[in-house]
Amino acid sequence: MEMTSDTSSGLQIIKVLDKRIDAAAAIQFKESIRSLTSDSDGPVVLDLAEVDFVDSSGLGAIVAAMKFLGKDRPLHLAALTPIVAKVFTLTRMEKVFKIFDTPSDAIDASEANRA
Amino acid sequence: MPDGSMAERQSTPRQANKANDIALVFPATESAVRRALNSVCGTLRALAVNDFTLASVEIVLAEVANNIVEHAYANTGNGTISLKCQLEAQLILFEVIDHGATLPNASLPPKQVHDLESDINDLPEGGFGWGIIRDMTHSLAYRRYKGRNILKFSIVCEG
Repeated sequence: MEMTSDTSSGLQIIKVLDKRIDAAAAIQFKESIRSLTSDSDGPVVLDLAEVDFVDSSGLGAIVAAMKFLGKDRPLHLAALTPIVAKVFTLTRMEKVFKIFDTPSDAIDASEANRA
Repeated sequence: MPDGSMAERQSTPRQANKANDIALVFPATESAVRRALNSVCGTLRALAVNDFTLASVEIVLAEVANNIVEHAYANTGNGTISLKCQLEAQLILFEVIDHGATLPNASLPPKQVHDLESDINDLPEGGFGWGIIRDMTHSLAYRRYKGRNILKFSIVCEG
């Protein structure tokens, strides 16, 4: 799955470039996250601005990514589009993740924490 | 006569409604489900269904169809899913049929309530589907008939 990765203020920002994280893409999603995070540490922010659809399999894949990153590397989310936000609300998984309006908000929060 | 049949078609409201019916049959695979959702949502959009309603349709259809792929046909890819959709004034009616395994207890599964306060490693990675389907449908009915699963549901046309 197509993703870009940038590091800023100790945060790894992974932007998903595909439009869908669904049943057909769930396995590739997990593999891509795993390979992009294998040589790094620190919290990860998943930028979902380009993703316009997530189903329950995609949601499960995001939870799986959170688990394999482990407790010391929190996975945060940013820029949820309307359908994606709806799925997180319906399943109450919005309570499990820290969700930012934009990746820069996540960076600001991280810098404020360090200051 | 062609002219006569055309006039009759236009003068009958029921016939006019038929033009808004969608029917498709597709293989029970994840990629075919993706294409079917794209097709149904594209057609409904062309019929002036708004984005808010389309979002509900896409989410519910994805959960229903993925359940069939994964559970009724156990990810074998052998089987088909038949989908019918009828656009009414306030509701969109759906009928989804497959020839796979019966739902557990031959009835609609409940919404699963997950403990989200639990340890990160115990968080659920699945079991969201029927909760989403139940929450987002206006009506929902299942029956097993002659080796087929028949799921009928409706979604409210918002705004």
